[in-house]
Amino acid sequence: MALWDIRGVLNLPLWKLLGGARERVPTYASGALMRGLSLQRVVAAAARLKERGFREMKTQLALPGDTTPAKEVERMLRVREAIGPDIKLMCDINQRWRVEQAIDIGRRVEDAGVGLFWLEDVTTADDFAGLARVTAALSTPVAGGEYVCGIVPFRHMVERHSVDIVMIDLVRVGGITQWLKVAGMAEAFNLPVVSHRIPEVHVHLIGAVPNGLTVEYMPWLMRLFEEVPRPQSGELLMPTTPGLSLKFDQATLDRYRAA
Amino acid sequence: MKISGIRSSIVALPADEPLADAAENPDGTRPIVTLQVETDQGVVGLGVTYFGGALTGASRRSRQSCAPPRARPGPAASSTSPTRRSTWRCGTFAAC
Repeated sequence: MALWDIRGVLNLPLWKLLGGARERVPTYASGALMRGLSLQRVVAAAARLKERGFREMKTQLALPGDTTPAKEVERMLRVREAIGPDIKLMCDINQRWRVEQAIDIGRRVEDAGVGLFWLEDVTTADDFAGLARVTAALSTPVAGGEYVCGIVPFRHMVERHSVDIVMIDLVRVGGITQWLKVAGMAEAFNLPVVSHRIPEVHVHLIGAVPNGLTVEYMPWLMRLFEEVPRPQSGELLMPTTPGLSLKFDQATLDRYRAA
Repeated sequence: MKISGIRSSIVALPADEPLADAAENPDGTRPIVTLQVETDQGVVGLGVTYFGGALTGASRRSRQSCAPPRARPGPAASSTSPTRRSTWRCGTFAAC
């Protein structure tokens, strides 16, 4: 990451160095509609995200405690009701379902007419065959990839048709160089890629590759930097300053320093 | 251009949820390892890795060892052999 930032000495933002040509990329709200929130809170938060201009947002299923397929479907229906039919809605399972559960609940959500843009990490991330069964059984696109490390698991994932949408985590994949290799691998298999966390850097990467679909906007590191890309009507404008277009906010480093 | 030094730190940011004010764990923190790679021409590159939980300290130490030996802080720099120096590779994610 840092070495690619240094290439900003060429006076171009990273996405331009990488050959990107877009002016903006779609982004979705993430981290706000978590499974630990009550139904009432998640519905209110979803409506708030829509009010703030997001056109895509992600929630979670595989609810904690005493859940049932009916409760899972009900939550999705209530979230959909709160945001209307035109917002792209994603749902993350974080590997918490078995394969047959993923197929069962996934179909129930489809039959209820929720309309998901994708269903994510439906089962154990390195069960490439199990993922492929779910992907084949559902018409909802299945996304995955954030949990695996390095580039080789992505080869197995795309070869086995385990996912419809490849999600790449900048840190776990091994940095920007490796991220770009996976994006190219996915492109060769006619698959889109999406990012996991750190939108401040991923805006460059999703905006640079032809199969970049949307940037996860999860601003958990936002205050680390002096200026960050901010969503406008559900999109991020491509940064214009060199390299990663980021500077650490020294006041934040000083205030929250732990070691 | 050559790498002349690195700086790293650990920060623990509040676990807030700024998009919809819907924090799941409002009293928690998120540990982040920061990295700044300095060059002899004055250009600085930044990197981060994050949410490593109990491995955060180890993660930071691995970033420190990412520096070329002459740029490493502390006594390790003076005890590094020339062989090690010539085969230095940066293999950590915050830098690559």
